Amino acid sequence: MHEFGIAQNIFDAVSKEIEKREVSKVISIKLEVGKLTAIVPSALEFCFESLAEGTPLDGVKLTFIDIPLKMKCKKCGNIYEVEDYYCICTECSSIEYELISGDELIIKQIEVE
Amino acid sequence: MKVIELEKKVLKRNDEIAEEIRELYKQKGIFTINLVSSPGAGKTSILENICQRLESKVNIGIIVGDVETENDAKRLSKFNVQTVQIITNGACHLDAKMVKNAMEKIDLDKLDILFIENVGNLVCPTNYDLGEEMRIVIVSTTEGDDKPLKYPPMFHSADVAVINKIDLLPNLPSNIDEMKKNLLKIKPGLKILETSAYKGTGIDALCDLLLLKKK
Ligand SMILES: Nc1nc2c(ncn2[C@@H]2O[C@H](COP(=O)(O)OP(=O)(O)OP(=O)(O)O)[C@@H](O)[C@H]2O)c(=O)[nH]1
Ligand SMILES: [Mg+2]
Ligand SMILES: [Zn+2]
Repeated sequence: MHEFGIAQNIFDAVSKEIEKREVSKVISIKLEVGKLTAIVPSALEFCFESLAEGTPLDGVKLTFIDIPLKMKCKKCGNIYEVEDYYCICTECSSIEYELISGDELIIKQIEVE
Repeated sequence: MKVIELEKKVLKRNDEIAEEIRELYKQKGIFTINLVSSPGAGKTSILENICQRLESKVNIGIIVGDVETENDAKRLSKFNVQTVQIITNGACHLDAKMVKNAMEKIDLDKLDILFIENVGNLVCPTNYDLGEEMRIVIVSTTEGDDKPLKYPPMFHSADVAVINKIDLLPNLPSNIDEMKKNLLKIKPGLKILETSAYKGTGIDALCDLLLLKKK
């Protein structure tokens, strides 16, 4: 359950932000989660809820934006989306690639009152 | 209602410490390897084999992470290597901070290769950069040939895959070619080695690879 540690990081980061910006109420936290991160949203939500109980972040909703796995072929420059983790260039079948997106684990924004 | 853009990496702190560690290792010329696998695939057994072969040739350090007990560090301390056990008290992975703390107990000036044996788990350690130069995933022949397909992010993050417990193959219905095919599906071009830590097979090739990459 590494989601607990992740939830703690999100909790700490957002708590710090709202203190700094003197925000009174947070409604939701939007997260970008890449396909390569081993995160289970429901587990993360559960951990976050438990952590937030009785704090200013109690009841805050987490929303998730899935970021697809995208590679750039090192041979032909083709940028392709990888559906099932099988990273082979859709143009030239090369297996030399550079990661364009998919490893994100980012607190994108917070919605506040 | 108002939206505040944060664009903040959740694992920023971990990544920063990992970068710090990586920089330090580079300065000191230490080659670091993060060993990951499911519980019991043979991380400690493979390390025992490596120590046996390399203890007189290079200075080895080992940081071992386990949820409980110092058993693994004890198994390794019979060799001429520096070992530090990290007990995570429940945490299912190591993070860069734990490694940094453990490093304080190691004499870095007397070190060529540092192994970090992660907690046995194919999910949780995936996103935690430990400042390593190479990530080796160990998968054993009894775990099912489709293991790579079940845990793609971890296998994708590896630089080398070691298929261990090949001595058991004659008694198993597993198909090692199928396992290799699945590894390559998730990570085309992945370097794959086969070992038996029990019989000592394939360990020389693994040691050669480490010494080659170290340079
Ligand atoms: N037959 C056979 N058994 C092996 C081999 N490698 C390891 N084992 C056995 O598998 C068991 C687990 O090995 P360990 O080396 O402790 O595995 P580990 O990955 O370090 O385990 P954790 O640290 O608990 O995750 C032990 O009983 C080993 O003796 C092998 O190549 N062949
Ligand atoms: Mg072990
Ligand atoms: Zn291409």
